[in-house]
Amino acid sequence: MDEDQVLGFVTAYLRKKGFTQTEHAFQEELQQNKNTSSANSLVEPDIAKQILSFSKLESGPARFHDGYSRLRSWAYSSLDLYKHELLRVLYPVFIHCFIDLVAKGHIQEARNFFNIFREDHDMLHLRDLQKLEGVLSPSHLQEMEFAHSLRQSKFKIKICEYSYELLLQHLHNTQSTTILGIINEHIDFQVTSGQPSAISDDPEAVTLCGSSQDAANQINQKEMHWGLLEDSLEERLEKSGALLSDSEKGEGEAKEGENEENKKRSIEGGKQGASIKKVKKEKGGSASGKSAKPETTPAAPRVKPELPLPIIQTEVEQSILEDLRNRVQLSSVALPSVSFYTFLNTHNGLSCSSISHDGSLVAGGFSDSSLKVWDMAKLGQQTVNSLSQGENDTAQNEQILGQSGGRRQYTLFQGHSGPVYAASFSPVGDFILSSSADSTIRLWNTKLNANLVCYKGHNYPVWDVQFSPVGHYFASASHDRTARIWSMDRIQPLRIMAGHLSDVDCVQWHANCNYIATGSSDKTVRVWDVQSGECVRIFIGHRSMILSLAMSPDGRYMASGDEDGTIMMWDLSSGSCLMPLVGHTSCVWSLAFSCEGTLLASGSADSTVKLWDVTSSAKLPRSDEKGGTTNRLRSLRTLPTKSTPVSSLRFSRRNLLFAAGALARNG
Amino acid sequence: MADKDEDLPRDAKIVQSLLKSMGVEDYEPCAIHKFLVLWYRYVVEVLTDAQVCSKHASKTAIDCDDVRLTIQSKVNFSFSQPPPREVLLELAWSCNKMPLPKSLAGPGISLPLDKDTLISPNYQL
Repeated sequence: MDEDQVLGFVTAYLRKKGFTQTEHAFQEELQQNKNTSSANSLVEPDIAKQILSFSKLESGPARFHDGYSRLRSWAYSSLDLYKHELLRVLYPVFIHCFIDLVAKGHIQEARNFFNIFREDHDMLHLRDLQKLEGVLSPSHLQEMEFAHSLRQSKFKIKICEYSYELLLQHLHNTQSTTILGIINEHIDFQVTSGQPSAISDDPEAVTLCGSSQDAANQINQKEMHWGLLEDSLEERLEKSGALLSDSEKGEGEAKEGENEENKKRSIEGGKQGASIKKVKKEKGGSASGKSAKPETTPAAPRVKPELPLPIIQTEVEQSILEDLRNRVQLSSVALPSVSFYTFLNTHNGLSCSSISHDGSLVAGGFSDSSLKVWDMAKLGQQTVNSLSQGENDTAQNEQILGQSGGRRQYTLFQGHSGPVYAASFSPVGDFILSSSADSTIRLWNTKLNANLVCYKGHNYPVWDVQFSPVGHYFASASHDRTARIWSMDRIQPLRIMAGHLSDVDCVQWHANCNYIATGSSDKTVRVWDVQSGECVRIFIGHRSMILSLAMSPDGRYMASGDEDGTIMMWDLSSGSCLMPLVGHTSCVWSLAFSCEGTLLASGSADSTVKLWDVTSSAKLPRSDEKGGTTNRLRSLRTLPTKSTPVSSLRFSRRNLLFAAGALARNG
Repeated sequence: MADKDEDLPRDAKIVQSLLKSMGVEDYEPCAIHKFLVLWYRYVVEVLTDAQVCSKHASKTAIDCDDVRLTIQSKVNFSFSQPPPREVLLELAWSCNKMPLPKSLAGPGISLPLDKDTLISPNYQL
């Protein structure tokens, strides 16, 4: 090893570290000591090369640029068969090159790098790129949670053997040690044998794994009892034999007889009750008459309610039973009728809307802090009356539509001091809850037209509030990253669900009122147990903030819609995603399951209502199915409106679909 | 006073480029004015308080530390963040260990005590 090389290393080191004075002193002494002999150092040539390359490595942000552009051009020029998989690698490398450049302080180069190469990734990762665009100094990196989590966790990429070999070969051949280092540090390859898969078929092709995924997997192992409530109205109806159900219910009925004892059981495999205590004769008769469906997973045993349920008054019960008896059966061949309520002249003021369970009341929350409720049944009655009366009848004059004079057609509820972000009707329709940016939730009575209670607990805007399916209890979701469960007769919350990493945007109750689901801006959906307040499920898979949730009436599935227009169907018992439903081009504001759970309706900001088939969406895709595109065809119908983004949907108890939205001006 | 794009003052141009860099293309012109008002008011407040701080420390001019101190003291009143995760988890734990109510009051409208509702008269004669 050369004396000169050693000198070269030392000088390079000093220069790199910025020890200018030491460097000068060193040079001076070098001059002095030139004549004296130097000791021989025994160092292997390989190590010398390594040290030299390391000293070179420390300088030059251009190598990120070169390495990445080389990788990119190679990936784009590779065979189509492997191209898709190789392109998946580009995004993590791009992100980490950029972060490395910023961390080392080369701001200008980082910005150039970012601007040159961002177009490739704009389509899939626009939001993340926008967040990273603002990162301009190492201290930003420290503070920003997103960048921090990117540094900590590894990208998991599924890749087939051939592509993997190709990638490694290329990296070794071109000696791009920087890129190799980045890939090694931040990407975790899951190598599968066999043919490379087609484009983006698998929503989990590139996932950010790391501590969040592991924690999620651990949480998803917990037990969750997703069966329906015992002694619900539907159950009583079935017992009386009045409801002619199809074979799915037939199976469920047989099990109700078995599960009269109130034991909760785990749902692995959907085990049936061990002993049959009572076999109801009517049920035996009805069950035998049905043809069994080939592959229905059995329903979970019915569970006891955790919260004490309110007593339903007899008239209300009668009307609900009446509705259940007259319910229209919907399926993929029998699509529902839709009644759409359009808000006119809102001047961008409508921030939320809600429809009551029977479709007769429509509420709109406005950004001027008011809540307005229209009684559609009364309005409809008035039109009939005024049409049937002759013009000579002056008694109807004060109720002429559109010329109200002093009389409003809606009930105005004023009390909030901030825009009203959510409204929810009680199941009977006599109470409304509204939540607003002033961090309070207010309870109003529609019959008395009065504000009854103001619930203060959150300190930040409350984005969503939902009555439970049995009434009396409600859940709220707020910017302070918690969801809270309240009871109507307490001004303090019963439970606080904390755990989300970002503000909670929407909340829904499970059909058995023992669980609530929350969707958040951290792109996860969590399911919480009401009794303990613990999180029992985390669903990861969305790519943007979650705007709407819906629970299936049989308690088995959950659907969530996000800001990009993707709807994901989740299986509650296993915690896995069944199917992403793609079709909407803009935010999905609202989701609703039909009363038997066969159809899912989704309303979006692209002014359409789409109907999806749940039964075929729920089947897990088999690997031997030919043609990946058939999995996509779950959308049954798209119902476009003129230019009205759909802000809320509701299936009434008779399976009539109601929708509401504010007419948007074109453009 | 309608300003064309080129005639905008430097500050307004800065706000425009900020909005553009965050990806906001569609906004009403008055949004820029509102941002300018907010910006100006915030900077004036911070600098006035920073001057008080530096005078208290008997310095001749405002220092970086003064500004930092002022911003920290203001952070609880404006631009406040929700409490950190640990605080929330602890709050949740203490709230969730209360047992759920065992039974409800009988049928009829169940509301909190009269003093907690809004239906009692809030005036005295």
